Amino acid sequence: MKPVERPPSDLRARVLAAASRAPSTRPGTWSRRVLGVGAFALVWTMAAVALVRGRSDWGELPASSVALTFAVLLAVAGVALGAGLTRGRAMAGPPLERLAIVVAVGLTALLALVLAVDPGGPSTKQLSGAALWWHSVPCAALETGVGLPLVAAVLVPFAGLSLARPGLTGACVGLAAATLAHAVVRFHCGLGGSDHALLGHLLPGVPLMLLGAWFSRARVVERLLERIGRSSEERP
Amino acid sequence: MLADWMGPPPQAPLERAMDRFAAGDDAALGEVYDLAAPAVYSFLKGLCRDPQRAEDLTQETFLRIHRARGLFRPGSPVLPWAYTIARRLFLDDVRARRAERVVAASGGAPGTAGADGSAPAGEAARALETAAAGPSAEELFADQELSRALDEALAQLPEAQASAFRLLKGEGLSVAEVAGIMGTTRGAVKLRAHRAYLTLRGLLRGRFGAGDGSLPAAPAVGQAIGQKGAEAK
Repeated sequence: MKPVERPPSDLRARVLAAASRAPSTRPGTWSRRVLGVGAFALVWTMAAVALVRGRSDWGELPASSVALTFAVLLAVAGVALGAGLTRGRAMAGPPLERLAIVVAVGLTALLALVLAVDPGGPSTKQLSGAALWWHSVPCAALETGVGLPLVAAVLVPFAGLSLARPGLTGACVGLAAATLAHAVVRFHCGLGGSDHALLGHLLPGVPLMLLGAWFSRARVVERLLERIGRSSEERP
Repeated sequence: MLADWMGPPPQAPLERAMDRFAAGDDAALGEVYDLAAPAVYSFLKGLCRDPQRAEDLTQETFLRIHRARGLFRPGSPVLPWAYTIARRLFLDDVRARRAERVVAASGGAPGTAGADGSAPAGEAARALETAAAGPSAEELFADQELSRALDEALAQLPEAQASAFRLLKGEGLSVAEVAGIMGTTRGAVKLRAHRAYLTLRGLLRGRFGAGDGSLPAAPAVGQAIGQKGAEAK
């Protein structure tokens, strides 16, 4: 291979001049962004829970299945957020192996939860046929509505970084956001049956993950932040 | 515990400069540039095969580093980060140019400065000028010819294979670092580099093994990339 070539001597002056005009992020921006996203996710989820109210049959649900359901949902959300929301050693985002494992295991765990655990009581409604489809639409809409701002928010810390795997990183943090939204819907929805849980609670998570992948690949959040105006963390 | 007792590991000058820059020392950017720019420019020039584009992308790479300085994790290796940014910019640039070509379906001017390999006489003259300082003119010419042929052969490879080969063998990064930069697994990096090596060997042997006495013989080609490729297996 050829030896390292030195760039033209005038390039240094051009880079320094351009940098002196361009805004830059302040020290500690990553930590502030992550804390901000954490606070937003907590407040948003709590507000959604308060707004949608708990399901009508809440009192008669078996405690063990309720505990298992929310434990799995929070665990998947936490692990996906922890694995995806990192700069990585080389500042290129999390490694591919970790992302792939977390997304695959997370989706499998959610699928197993939906199919195997159905927290329902004697008065929990079970639907089938066309009614199943129609009653799944509000749940899917609620999950998408709660999840969409979360997906956008969890990508804010990455604004300005060049990720080696932007699509998969977006999908991983999208999984975390979708799972939190799933928990809100699970808290609210009084319909039983794994068919409804699959259609109304699990499947809406897939477009949210795809949206996270697209947002991350196309730098949608970064461009949006730039358009809104240089935030206070940047200095001239 | 032992690590605590021993203190943090010693940092390279580039990492120290970047830490100062990330902490708010504006003047450290010049030092970061001086230490990282040759490697970044060389990597980009190898990918683009166009000095002007390589300059533009090098400038944009350092501007990205400048903008993202507050996101830098102190102590992280800087060059892999810079390579990640540079490669991503190169891929975006390729996509943008491809889109432009689709829009302007009539096509632009073929070839760019230095990319068409049409100046062997100039290179030979330069080789002769510097011959007095070291190796013979024939050796220098053969080295330059081989180097140019290797660049041309690398340009024929898929970007993923060429980048893996350049980062691993040209820039001397570890398999793990290249995997991080390219967003893939270590096994995939080894496979890409090995495939690149096999293709390069075939291309260069096809070119130099034809028996033209003025060009390096096949064993020289094998020597140029052989050890590097063998390490990638």
